[in-house]
Amino acid sequence: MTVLPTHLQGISRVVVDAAVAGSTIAARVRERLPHLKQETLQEGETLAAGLAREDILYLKRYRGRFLRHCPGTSHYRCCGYQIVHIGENCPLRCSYCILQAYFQDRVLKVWANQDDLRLELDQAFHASPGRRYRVGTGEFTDSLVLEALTGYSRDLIEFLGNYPQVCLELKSKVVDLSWMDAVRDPSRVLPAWSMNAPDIVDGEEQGDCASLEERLSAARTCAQAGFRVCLHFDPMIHFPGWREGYARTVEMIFDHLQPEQIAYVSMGSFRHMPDLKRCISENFPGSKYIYGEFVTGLDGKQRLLRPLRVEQFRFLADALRRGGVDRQLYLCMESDEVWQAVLGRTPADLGGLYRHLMAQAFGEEG
Amino acid sequence: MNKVDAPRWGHACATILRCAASDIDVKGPWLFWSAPPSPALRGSLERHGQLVPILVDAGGARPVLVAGAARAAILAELGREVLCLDIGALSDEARGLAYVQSNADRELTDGHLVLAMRYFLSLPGCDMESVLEALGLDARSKRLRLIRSWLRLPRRWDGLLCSGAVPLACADLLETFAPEDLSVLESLFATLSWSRGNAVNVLTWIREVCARDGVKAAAVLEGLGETLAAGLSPKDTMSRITQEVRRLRYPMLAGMERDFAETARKVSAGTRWRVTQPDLFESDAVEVSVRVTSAGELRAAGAELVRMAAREDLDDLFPVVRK
Repeated sequence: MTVLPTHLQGISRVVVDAAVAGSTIAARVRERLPHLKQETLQEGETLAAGLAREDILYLKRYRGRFLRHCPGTSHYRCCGYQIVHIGENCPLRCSYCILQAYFQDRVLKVWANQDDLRLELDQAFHASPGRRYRVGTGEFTDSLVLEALTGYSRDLIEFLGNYPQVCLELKSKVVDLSWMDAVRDPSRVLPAWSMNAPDIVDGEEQGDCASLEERLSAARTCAQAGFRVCLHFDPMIHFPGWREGYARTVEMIFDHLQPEQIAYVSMGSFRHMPDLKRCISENFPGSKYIYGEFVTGLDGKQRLLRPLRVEQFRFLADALRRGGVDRQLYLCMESDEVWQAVLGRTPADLGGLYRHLMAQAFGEEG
Repeated sequence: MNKVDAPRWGHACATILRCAASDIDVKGPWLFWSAPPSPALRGSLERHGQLVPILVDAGGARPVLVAGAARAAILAELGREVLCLDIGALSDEARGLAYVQSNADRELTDGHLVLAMRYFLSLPGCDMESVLEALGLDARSKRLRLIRSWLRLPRRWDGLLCSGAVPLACADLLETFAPEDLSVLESLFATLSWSRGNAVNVLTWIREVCARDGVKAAAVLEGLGETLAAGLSPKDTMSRITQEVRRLRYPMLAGMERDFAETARKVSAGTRWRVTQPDLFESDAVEVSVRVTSAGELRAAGAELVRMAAREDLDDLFPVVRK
């Protein structure tokens, strides 16, 4: 029996909707968690709401939309990324994680009706011939955190291999490269890892996340195999020593990657709805960054006071530029004023952020 | 006729009796809402006598007061006999419930509820479902959650709640402070009655400064001693404290606001224009507004605006851009 990664060893219960009990995903989970008997929920039965347990894996027949737009907010520039929705929640324990406040429970949910997903994606991709798509699975869960159990990303990659107009981003904090040999065209898959200052990775990403070194080594492996990778500094955290921390991470990036191996790098400052602050203070009482100078932004979310964010963004952007990464840089959910102050350009100067990142994703810009 | 309706918790037959006020044991802890008698009640008892009996349990050596403390106290002072309704031998829980029911027409404040809950929760095996029903509290309500938080505070804070100095909304916040911090915080409420919003803000900011800097509340309040002793009106004192604590919590924002206000004053001096920053510096926007009531005022305001626009220090209104 293959040993599961540490972050999956805490799963103690598997629940499956009867409608997907015979699915490929359910069969794989049975095989990879043979010591756990799958509990079946009959049609009409539901898993009790509000379970605050991340040790339950729920293989669900999902009835909602699988292809969605990123829930960007008004007044700020959204990158226009589209989500392929494969499940919800994550067994990793990052103090800043929005999912704590976003979902009502912590149950690990996987949409096991992959045939429905494929059908919807096929219809969507055929509905607008000639249109390109930049999609990702790392919005409501980590793209690869359950891969060792479900093989979901590998399945998706095989399926999307039939659609050259689609570029798939796999965003993660773990290292799982088991999907690589399923890729037909490396230019259509963007492996992506979350980056942060070492102190934040060590102190605030408390689950069994891969270390920065491990993430960047995996990124280098991907780059050597012909993939271009994405790096996400989101959320950037304002804490004593942030300059040294982010500078060290940038050094590590360029120890592992050449600028041309990077498709894009996002920068986003920690921002939150008030409820998340309460979750963090209760779940992670040692996390002090929530007591920074946050004010209510134009979208109603709490954001670090603008001069402080601009200072952090500029510092990071300058360091990345010195290493040769420039056009790949973008800001997640920021105003034109912040774009201008940090990067000296606005999304309009790039022909629009959506178009710019699409071109970056498809390898059309250097 | 001395038979009355029996309450559901008591004997089948309650009886009316008279006794000397001094004979009645009035020290029961279930009299948790006792307050000094009002002059109106005193006047009524003096002029018209006792029209409503007090409730007692007369089963023991001396009658025990169950409800009617104010009337018993006044009649004792007046040296009169007291008309009592003996509702029989009751448990402490039943006495408390009878006391609540005898005050059924009273509007219960948060302070009342806290005092009642402290009493009932101190009784082993008390049926809290009945208590909550008697007090009109929904078991899932935010009010009950806050009361439960409040009950974890030292009992001496109840006085501040009952006097209206601290709103119940602060319970969640207060219970996060260490005992030594709570002692220090009492000075903020001892002589000032805070609105809900201001109290929650000030306590939140103090707590967050403590958490951020790893200091005790005493260190945060150190600089406020002068404000508290400055002899300002209570309203001005609270306003000053709020500002000072906010400045500690948001030092950069407070500095930007101060600088902006100063620049705005300078730029608009001698005009009727009001210059403000509308969104906590999240954008570069500055709002310039004027209120006029005639064409003449509008023309004059226009001329003032032209003069303002010619100033050379306007860049100071856009601090983030400048930086």
